[in-house]
Amino acid sequence: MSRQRIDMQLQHDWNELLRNIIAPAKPSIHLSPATLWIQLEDLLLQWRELWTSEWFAANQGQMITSEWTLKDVIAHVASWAGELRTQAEILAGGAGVGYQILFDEIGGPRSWNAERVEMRRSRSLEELVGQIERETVRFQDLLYEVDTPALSTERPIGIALTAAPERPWIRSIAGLVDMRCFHDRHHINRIIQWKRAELGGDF
Amino acid sequence: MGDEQQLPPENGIVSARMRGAMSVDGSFERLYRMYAPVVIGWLALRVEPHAVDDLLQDVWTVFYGRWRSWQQPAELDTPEARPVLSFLFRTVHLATKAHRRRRVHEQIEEHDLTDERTMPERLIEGLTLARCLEFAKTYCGEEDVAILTGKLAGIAAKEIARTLEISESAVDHRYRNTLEYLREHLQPAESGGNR
Repeated sequence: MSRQRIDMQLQHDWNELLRNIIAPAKPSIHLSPATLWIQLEDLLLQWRELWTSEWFAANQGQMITSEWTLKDVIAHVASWAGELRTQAEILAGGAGVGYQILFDEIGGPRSWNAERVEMRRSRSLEELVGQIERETVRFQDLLYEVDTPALSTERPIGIALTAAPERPWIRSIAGLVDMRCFHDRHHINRIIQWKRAELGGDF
Repeated sequence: MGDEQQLPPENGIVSARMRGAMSVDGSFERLYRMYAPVVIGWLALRVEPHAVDDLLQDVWTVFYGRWRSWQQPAELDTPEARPVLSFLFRTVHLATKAHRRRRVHEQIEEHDLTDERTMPERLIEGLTLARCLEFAKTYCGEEDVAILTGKLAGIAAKEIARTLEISESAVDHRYRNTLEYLREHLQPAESGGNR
């Protein structure tokens, strides 16, 4: 059998397989440790694609926002990766978070962010990347250590608006995963936009 | 208009959703109807039969979450790009990874799973993998099956490479090797012998 014929046979077999599959009318949308694990793993995939790009380490000192270099942004992401995992562990223990990071209405937690990036300034890019990897894996492990209902149990977390510190945000562990994904993806997209604008080329 | 006709069918649904002409849920259901068989096909070739249904739900749950905030840049409106299908391919890969992780951590044994088989078996009941696919599932490595089934479904090598964290040339090279392997081993049966 020639390679071309095998190729055609496979395509035929595949099409036949699909033709015979009767899928359930609707998928059941459900929360599970696996669905949250997959979202965090997908983030890691996206980050690794950036980290392993040739231009990434070479441009770590470039300013990509008005205040931060590329490495600073990674330090910022690392600080939130650790923070959200820590808060998820507290929720997993059955309690609300007993401290608060205050968000200004415009600009978010400016002072907390600046302080955490400064704390990491002496670390190398590799160390910061390693921290994001480790924190993500710890968060993923946590998902399998709690009962599934606990993943969606909402409790006060350690974030509140500066104007209303008495009203902490209410989130579940699943909600913290969403926040982590949203936050990381925001920075991934901005890094990609910066790369395209400044260095050109496809990503 | 001419260009639009060449775009993959998913593009029409994505554009309608982006324009607000279709709701999130309505467009999600259309995409589910379009791609659920492909997702089941991928899973049927990559995991044990009893795991297919659970993983199918996981994949569509993750996609639903993402679909609600889906953004598609205009540069992906090309005949070759299938961002939704590529996302599902990637999610199937991660779902199988999560599945194996769970098996390792919980040390699930086959007999523990028999009680959970009602729906899963119904889902793929009566499905027979044709000889080439069955052979690939049984004898090829997991990543090679992922590459093979990704290619069969029309996923670009670049997207397969991103998902598997390997180079695009490695995807093409391994795909050719898999075809060669199948060609060599299926040859005797074609002439009436056993593999």
